[in-house]
Amino acid sequence: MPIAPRLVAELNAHLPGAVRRADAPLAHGGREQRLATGFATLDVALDGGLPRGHLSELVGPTSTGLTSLAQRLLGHVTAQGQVAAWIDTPDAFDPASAVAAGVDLGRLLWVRPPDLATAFAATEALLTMGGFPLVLLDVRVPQRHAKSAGAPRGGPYGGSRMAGAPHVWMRLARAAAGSRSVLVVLQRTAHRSATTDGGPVTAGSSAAVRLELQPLRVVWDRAGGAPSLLDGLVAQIVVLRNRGGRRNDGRVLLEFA
Amino acid sequence: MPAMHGRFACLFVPRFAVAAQLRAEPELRGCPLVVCDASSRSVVTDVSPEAYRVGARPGLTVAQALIRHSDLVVRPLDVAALAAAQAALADVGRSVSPRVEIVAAAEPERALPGQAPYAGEILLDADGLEQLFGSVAGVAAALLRRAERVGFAAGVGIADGRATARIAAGIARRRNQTILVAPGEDAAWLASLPLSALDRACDAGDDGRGRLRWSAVVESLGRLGIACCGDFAAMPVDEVASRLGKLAAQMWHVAAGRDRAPLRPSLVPHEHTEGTRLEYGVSSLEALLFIVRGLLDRVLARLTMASLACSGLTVSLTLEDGSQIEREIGVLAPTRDVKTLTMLARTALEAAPPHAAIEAVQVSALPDRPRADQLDLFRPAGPPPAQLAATLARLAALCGAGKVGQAVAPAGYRPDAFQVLPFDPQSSRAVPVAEEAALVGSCSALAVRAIRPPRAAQVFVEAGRITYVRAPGLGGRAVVTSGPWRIEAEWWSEAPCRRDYYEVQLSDGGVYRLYRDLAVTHADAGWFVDGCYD
Repeated sequence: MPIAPRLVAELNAHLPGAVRRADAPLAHGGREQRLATGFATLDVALDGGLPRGHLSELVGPTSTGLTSLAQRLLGHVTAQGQVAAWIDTPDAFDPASAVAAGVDLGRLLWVRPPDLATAFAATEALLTMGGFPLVLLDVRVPQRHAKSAGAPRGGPYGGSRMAGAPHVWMRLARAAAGSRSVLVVLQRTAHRSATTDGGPVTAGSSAAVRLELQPLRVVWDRAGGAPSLLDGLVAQIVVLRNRGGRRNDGRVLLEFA
Repeated sequence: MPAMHGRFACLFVPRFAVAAQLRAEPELRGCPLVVCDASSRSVVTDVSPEAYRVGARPGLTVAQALIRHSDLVVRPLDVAALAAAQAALADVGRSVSPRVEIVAAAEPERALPGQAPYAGEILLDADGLEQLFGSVAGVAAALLRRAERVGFAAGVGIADGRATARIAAGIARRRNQTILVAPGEDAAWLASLPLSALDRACDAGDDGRGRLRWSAVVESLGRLGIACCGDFAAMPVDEVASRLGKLAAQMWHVAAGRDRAPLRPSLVPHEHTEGTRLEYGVSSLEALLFIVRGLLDRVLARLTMASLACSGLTVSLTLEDGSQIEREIGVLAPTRDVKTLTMLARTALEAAPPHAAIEAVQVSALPDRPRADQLDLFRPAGPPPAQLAATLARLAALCGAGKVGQAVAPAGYRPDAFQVLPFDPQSSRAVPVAEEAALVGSCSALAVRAIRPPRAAQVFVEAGRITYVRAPGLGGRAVVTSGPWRIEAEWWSEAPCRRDYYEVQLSDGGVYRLYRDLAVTHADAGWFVDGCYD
């Protein structure tokens, strides 16, 4: 046996996966293929994080920590010197909260499209350009806007009826695959109030990862009869789908305070 | 041998009115094109080589020219296209030398009948340029190449004197070659040329009649048997001056290689402008955008040549009723992407369409340095600056002004305050941390999801405590409340912020941030929901 393959075999025996050919494909679920979320426990459940080049979907009702989780993700990415984009259809991004979550606002592109169709077009433009390892698309459209969601001049996303159609999500997923970016879509599921937003617009099978946030409790500090203070939220993340991952049924407890 | 004062390069485009028209309408190349005067449209002022071959000549009436060849393409003199062509030629010069003179840029109204108002000729300070371009021939080749890039077939002459360089450029274009006169050899090179060659060295002068006067001098010299520049230079200059006048003395200095006229550099324009006058009024937006795109193509070619990008646009339209309108278009980041700029122009024109058909279009681009791609050893590479600029501009066109950029939380106490600044990730000074260091356990900051604009709410209060909240899209019994937390900010301004903030968990499960505006005196009014803890 030639010496080089023998050495590689020995090294791999002691350090599995440490040596590989430069042109060998990365193992699915490897760290190079996943973007860490910033939550160690969630990353374990997701085999390293959200998959690069794929569409991931975060769903949940109001006050379950969906925005906090997304901002934590942004903070984690921008803290490493990378740029990210937030496509903010409902115009709900709060810069002060983002700073508190550790987001470097100088590396975050904030886009406030007037409607859902424009949001899709903007997302595709950013993904096609490349260079953004993380693009967040918040499609939780307030009800007063939901009926008017649609491109004003047609185009691939034209019309509110087509805005949530499967081909739109496939198109975005393909754009994400081309740029190796992580596209995260924030979705609103049916809520107890159920009247705040315009109903779910799910990415369906185009999403490689689907996480659902479920509310557990709101934590108030009521010590000593003093006025109540909002301490935070406790939510549970259920991994509904983790395509290519080892597990699909992980549950992670997260606290936002 | 006279002492050297520097080197001049001349870039000359003959039949400039025709060249400018062909630059504006490239599809006319190869056609017998004649350009007539703009006012009466009856006299031919310039002809293309194809038209010349079929008998068209400057000075003929259009009817006479059409009798000689019925397939002539006739265009009125487009002063806007001509001015843009002259500016483009100057840009070619500035891309090679920092000191450029636009020759004979007489005002259109001062031009003689049949004479083009712009000469299509520039002079450059060529001293030392060979160190940049390898050789003098390299300078000439660069000039020709760049002139071709903006749509001109030009001639180049390089000499010690400005007049010699101009004469050389004129001959070079006819011979289809560059003429490089060796240093100190101006007189020797000019010696064999006929006196009429000095015609190109006559500036238009204050009355624009320098060349006519020189023709008279040449006739006088011809009667003395002086036919070439060498013989003329051998004459005593005092006699020439006293017998033939000031102009003859000036020309003697040129012929003798003693031309010491300096370069008169022109100012660098603040904007790069391209324009055209239309044959007939255009009323459809698509047709107008087609024209605007062509103008943008040309203006961006000029900017690219100068290694600049466009950071702002002004589209000026002259309407059929004589009125003029302008649309100023902001560009989020300097870009050279024609598609993006056309989209921005479309957005601006659609927002406020012109009220009448358009007769003339002018596009002015504000030049700026493109963002440089400076890679960092310690940071990951971001999006390519040029593409980012184009994408940002496109996003701004899609979403509207002020909707794309970097979010900023301004200093102050207003919870709902924010600003949007231009997005420039390279300006971020935050030090990146290692991925491992950024990992945390299972706890993170609680974010607020803003509700813009704040929704007016109906709040029921019993015994000083909030019991029920109802607002568009939300409502429920208050389970837990927190507050009031009073904020009094910007009391010095016209819109001070005096609010009592509350955090309320409703029975629907949502935790909201609401406030009571203390400026509203009515007890049941002034409640707003401006955020949701999420």
